[in-house]
Amino acid sequence: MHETDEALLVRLRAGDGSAFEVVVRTYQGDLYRLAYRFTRNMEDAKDLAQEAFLRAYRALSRFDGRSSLYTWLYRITLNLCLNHRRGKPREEMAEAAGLADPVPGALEALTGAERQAAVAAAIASLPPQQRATVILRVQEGLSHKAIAEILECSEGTVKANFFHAVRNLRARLRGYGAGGGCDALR
Amino acid sequence: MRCDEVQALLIEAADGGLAAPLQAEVEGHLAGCDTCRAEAAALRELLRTAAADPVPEPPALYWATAREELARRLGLGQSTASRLTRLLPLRPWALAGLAAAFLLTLATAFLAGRGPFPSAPAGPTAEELALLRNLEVVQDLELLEQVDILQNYELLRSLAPPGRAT
Repeated sequence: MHETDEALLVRLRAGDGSAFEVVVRTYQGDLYRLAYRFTRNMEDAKDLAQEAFLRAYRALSRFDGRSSLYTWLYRITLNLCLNHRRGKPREEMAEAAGLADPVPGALEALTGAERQAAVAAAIASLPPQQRATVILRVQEGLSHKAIAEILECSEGTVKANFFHAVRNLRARLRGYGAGGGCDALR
Repeated sequence: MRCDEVQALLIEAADGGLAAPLQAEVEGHLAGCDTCRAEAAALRELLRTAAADPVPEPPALYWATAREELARRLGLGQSTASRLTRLLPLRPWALAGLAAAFLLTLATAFLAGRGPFPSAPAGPTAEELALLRNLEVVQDLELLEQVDILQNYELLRSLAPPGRAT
């Protein structure tokens, strides 16, 4: 049976180093994956996940426990990712990740891999809060409540960000699927 | 419901956020409207494609190395090697010897399994060379310091010559 976050926190606060190792073992894959989704680069993602754990350990005394351990770790990682990205223009990020600029057109004609690359590039082009929301909601499968905790905003804001993000993605990927104008009012 | 009203709800519907009565109304509209149904399908496909975006896994040995590095940078606890030593009450040199003995046993079993040589061998085969190279690698204490390596069955499998299961 896995140790609960609460029990881990008690041990962490008591300075138990082995508890931190459990935390790292439990969440290292999640934080790496989250960082990869932002950077699209394995080395950067590994570095950011490591840095997130370093910061988390050093900030343990300031963690008030109002959010869960994983949302706190996600928040630290996300902030690192956003700051990391701020230092690089989007074009450079996309180039580093081998992502082409999304091309409006008949995406349904693309192969699965090309379609995936186009969608990834479109997500990378979103404003930071929308991008974070799409990654956390669609790719990480988190609840609105968890995302609100991570982004430190209301659930309503999360839903609004999600709506705008998907609408923007649809606009960037116009022609995706068979959708078109509505020719009939019912 | 009109198309514009339905289309305003499609993103929330695709996200599973609509209340049941509203969801039923939307679905009722979609059943009779090709255009809105196509838009709904496109949205679902977009989200499905985004969700399926693959993330490459780092090499298997990365996680253990990363934890070791993290512990070192934070000045936490003993190394995994010393923990292994404590668990097995053996010194590192003894562990290296144990690993070497294990591989020599493996090599003997391998050679015995080949049966009598069909003719005088001109030299070690490619399989034997690979085995010897792996033996040298495992004798390296640095490798032994990674406890997870020993827990990693895939690595043990990779120590066997190609085509032979461990």
